[in-house]
Amino acid sequence: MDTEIGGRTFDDDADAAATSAGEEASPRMAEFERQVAALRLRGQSGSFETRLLYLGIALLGLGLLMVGVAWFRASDTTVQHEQIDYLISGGIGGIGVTLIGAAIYLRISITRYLRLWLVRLLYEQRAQTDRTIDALERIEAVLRERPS
Amino acid sequence: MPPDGAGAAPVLELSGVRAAYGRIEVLHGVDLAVGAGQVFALLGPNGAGKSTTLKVISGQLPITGGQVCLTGRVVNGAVPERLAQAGVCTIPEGRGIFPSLTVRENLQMMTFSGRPRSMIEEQAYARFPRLRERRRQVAGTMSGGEQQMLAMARALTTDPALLLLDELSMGLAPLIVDELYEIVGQIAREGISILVIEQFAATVLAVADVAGIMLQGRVVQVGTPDEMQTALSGAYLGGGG
Repeated sequence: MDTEIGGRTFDDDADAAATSAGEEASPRMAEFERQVAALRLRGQSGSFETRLLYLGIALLGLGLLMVGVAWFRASDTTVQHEQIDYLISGGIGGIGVTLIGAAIYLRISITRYLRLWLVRLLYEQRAQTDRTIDALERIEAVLRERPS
Repeated sequence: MPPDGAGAAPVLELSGVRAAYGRIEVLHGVDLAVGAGQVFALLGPNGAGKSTTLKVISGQLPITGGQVCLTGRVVNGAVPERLAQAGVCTIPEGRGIFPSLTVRENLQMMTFSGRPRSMIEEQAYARFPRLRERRRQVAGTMSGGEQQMLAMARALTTDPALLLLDELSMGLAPLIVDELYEIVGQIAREGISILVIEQFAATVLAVADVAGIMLQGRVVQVGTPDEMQTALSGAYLGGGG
């Protein structure tokens, strides 16, 4: 039996035969099943990138906290070697943690910004292409209508 | 009608899926199932949640409730790139192509999948001979139908198992739409499951095996294309289900 769609005819018998071929094409479906089974699922708590962003912010805060604590502890004692310990572990360590946190935060933020910028650029480019084609079509239409 | 693999789990199944943009919930419990080699036409007016449903299936939008299952496995939270690698392929609304690149360059972009360019081009030109003629043309200067063909050709080079088509007919002439849906029918007969969403039903119902009507974030009715043809006019004219 044939089915007609907008002037085109589909042969249902041919469809049935092709469907059998589709059934034989089950290796793809088996492969799909295998790949789906191997899919790693994330929680609903956000992407790896978002977690990394939060980690950067947390490290930034932690580093500053370490510097503050070290300053208070160092100012609490007159023993010089203890002050040097606080300076090294809290001060330098804290600044290091802050820098690592800031680097992670900046890396993720810049990536997000550049991604958005790239998408915007693609969108603008597409809109520009549409405008150019539209203008060309209008010019062509005018030229066609003009008596030669 | 293509079988949905009697006894086997559907290729795609949504159960009570809810999704939101921020605080605004747009899917209020979507249920649908697409069997192997089936064409499921999801129809509904603008704003019904059809495109959001595709975003949920392709992993672009996290769900807030319910389950998305592929071949029986719950895949809530799967990332889009992994789903795409597995064989879930989306052709987005409008054109999923690079308008400033030529047809060949657009196809060349698909070599990331590891396939040689010659194979990708051969496969694309065999299915869409018109693209061979246009291979040196900048994609953005082709007609809407040819751009859609290129988008489909690019998608099919990924060897999809589940194809998600968003508003294939948008902005295209009826004859071109017929031609594209004829190709959709051929793809389905090769065993690829297809979920196609459309606002206008006439052509898609002719190639669909099952159709559903979506209104206000829910699939309110599922049935054969003939049943849906009758129900659709009522739904568009203000019926709630």
